[in-house]
Amino acid sequence: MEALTILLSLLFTSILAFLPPLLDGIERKVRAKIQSRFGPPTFLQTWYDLLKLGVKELKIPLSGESAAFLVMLSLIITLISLYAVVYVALTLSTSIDFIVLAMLLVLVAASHSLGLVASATTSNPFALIGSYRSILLTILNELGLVVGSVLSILLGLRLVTNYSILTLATYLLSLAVLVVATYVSSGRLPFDIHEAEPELASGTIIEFSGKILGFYIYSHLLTRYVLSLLVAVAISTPFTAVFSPLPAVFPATLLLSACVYLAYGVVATLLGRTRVDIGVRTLFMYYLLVLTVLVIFTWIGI
Amino acid sequence: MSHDYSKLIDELSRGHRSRAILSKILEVCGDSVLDLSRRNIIIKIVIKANCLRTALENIYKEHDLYLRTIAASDERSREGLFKLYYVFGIDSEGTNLVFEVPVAEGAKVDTISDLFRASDWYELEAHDLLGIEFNGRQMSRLVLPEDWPENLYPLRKEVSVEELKKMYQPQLISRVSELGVEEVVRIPVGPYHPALHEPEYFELYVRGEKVVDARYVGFMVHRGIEKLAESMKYDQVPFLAERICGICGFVHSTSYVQAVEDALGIEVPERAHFIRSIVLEVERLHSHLLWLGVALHLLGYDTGFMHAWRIREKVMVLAELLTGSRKTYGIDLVGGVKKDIDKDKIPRIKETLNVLRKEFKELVDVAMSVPQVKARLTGTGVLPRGEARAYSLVGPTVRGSGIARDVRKDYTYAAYHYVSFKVPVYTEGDNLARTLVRVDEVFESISIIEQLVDMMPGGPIKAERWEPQPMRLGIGAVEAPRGEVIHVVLTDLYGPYRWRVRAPTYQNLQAVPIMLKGVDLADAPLTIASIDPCFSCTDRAVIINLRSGSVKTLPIEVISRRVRENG
Repeated sequence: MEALTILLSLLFTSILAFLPPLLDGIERKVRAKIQSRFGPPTFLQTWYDLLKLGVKELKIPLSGESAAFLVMLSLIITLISLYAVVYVALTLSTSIDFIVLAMLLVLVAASHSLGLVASATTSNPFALIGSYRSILLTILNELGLVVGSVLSILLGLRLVTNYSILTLATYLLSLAVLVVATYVSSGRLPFDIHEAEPELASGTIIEFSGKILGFYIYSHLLTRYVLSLLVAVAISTPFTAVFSPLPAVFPATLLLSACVYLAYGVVATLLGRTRVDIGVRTLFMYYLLVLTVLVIFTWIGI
Repeated sequence: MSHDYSKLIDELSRGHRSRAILSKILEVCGDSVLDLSRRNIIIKIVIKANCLRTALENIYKEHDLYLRTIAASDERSREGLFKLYYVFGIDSEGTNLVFEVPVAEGAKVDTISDLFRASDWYELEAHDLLGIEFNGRQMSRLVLPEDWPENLYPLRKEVSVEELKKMYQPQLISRVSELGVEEVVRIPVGPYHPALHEPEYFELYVRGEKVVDARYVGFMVHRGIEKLAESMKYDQVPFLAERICGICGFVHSTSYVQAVEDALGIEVPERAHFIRSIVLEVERLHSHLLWLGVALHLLGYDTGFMHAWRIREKVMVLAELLTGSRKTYGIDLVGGVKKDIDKDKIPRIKETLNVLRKEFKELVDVAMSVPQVKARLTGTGVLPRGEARAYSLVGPTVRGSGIARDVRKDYTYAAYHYVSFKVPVYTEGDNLARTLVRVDEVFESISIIEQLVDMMPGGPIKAERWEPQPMRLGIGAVEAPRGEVIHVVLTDLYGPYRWRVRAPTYQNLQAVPIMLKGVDLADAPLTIASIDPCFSCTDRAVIINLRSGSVKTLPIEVISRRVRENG
């Protein structure tokens, strides 16, 4: 059974790895529709963009060898984290594997950290400004990501065995934390401040071109999808525990992950860009408020 | 001048403000005032250079007096002198106060840059282009390139346009020689404006993410348009004037023709005034929509940007319907306009305006409810009212700081006195205030066009004939989308003897470093863009061929085409 799960996880990971650029293509079309534009000619446009970057010559930016290496490492770790989240999704119904869940969170955090380190290693002072903005935001947001994902999955399972209004409320709150945390981590508006003003301050993208840029973008899209799948898993946890996991619930989770991905894209279309001070302050206040309520609920005893 | 001034002052003044100002000037300068005269709204004071500063020291605190422009002119061939024309406006009574200051060659004029901060660039420019010296201030090069030869002043009459072309970029020629090549192409790349991608350069001194100080270096491209006009006929210049700006070109051609009409006393038919006013407001609509789109883009709200430009497209189609062109309309003539507005177009105009009003309202309601848009506009890029006044600022920039300065009301022209409209004013002085001024102005412009279309009289659209006369001074001012554009024309028999152009950005840019102090780095592009800056946007590449000795300029896209063709 264990071997079968691993094999299935590997199979789905291999398939899902192709999905993020496609979802991005759909998101671009949806965004264009909202903005009264035609948008890219096909849903596959992001794939075409990546392939074109892939055939361009390899250019390593000045003092950027370590940054390029870290981008590749980040991509590998993101792929492993995709495997981990697929594995969690497949095994949730029977029992929760805390080790895999912990490993998943470590991998996601590692992927983010590597991205940040890659940003910080650049010698471009303009890119550094964006990188430090990103570091500030990520440090704050990782807290929400860890708390939100662990609590929402745990409480989702608990809902099945020990349903109460308080448990449901706590579950929804933790889900809200997870949704916000994954949204911020996805680097969409209004939290794309690391790449905000390319003429004044930018992030790592300004340093990369060709193949490295292609891998960076792919890794970024993959991270977005892993986060969307994590939210989808957290949402479907109560249902996964009640109903048979395969073949019905797992595909539903995958479908939900695509919906989450696109919903995030739609939300981003409706917002402007925040400023680093406003963004950090807003996020801090949000987490402080929700986590305080969560602690109170836990203390009351759910 | 006689010492019995009171009767003369009564004759010349247009209200109590100008009466008080004239009294003070005559009191302190007396015999240094060589002549006083008035024509329409222009009161001209010919004053000796040695008393100009004294006169202005006594009047600069008048609260509604501001420096509109300074024009320097080489009149040595006629009177053996240079002349400086200081144009001040008295907003409350719509009077232009023109100080005509004769300056002998080699003589120096006292600076007034400490009294009227806006005069700083005008004085430097007068020195660059005509070699006029100023006392009491540091002189530095402003508009000409660094490698421009000393003692070559392009606006002096003895310097021809052909001669200037030969002198263009001498350092580049020597560079070609050093390289030992036959031909070289110099393509200007940057520096760029952080918001609008035009050749401008700002230095921001940043502590963390806070801008603690800012410096502006401009005038990357001097096109020599004023000089070029001196060799053109009267009716050729509007086409040149319209190419000063790619966004509000009609404003410039209208200012020019109004200046000539003012100088020569040309009676323009009413219908032409209406047509000009309608097209000017159409231009304001497209400019404000363009700006709003750019501002929303800078705030990261690209959906707003897309919709602002989608709505703007209707205005472009309307412009094409009225003038035959989406931009650079080319319908202005001295004495009227070239193209009439037919009756059958009026329903379409009204229909477009109705759709525009509805869709723009929806856009503004949605955009202003986006939390990030409101948060980042509010309290950023603050320009206090006192600074706005000290720098003689114009347009939405000054109106966002609580000063209701609008040429359409204060120095009314064309058909604006027939229509009822409000001048939107906000007192906060921040980016939000400047944005809201423009938003309100869009609704006002729609209303103005509707009123003008309904009231448009019949009759001809241009004056039948007019006679040019030499050395008449005329002022033409138009409220452009960015603020007041003012053109000063000294006439000659065939074309302008001297044509002075002052765009609103020239006036407003000097206040940008003040706005930038204390803003977050992320808000700097928006703050710069909040004055809706309009820079020279026709950079040219220069090709020098040593063998033939030819120097020619051509648009960059032509070079890129050549490169493509040559593989």
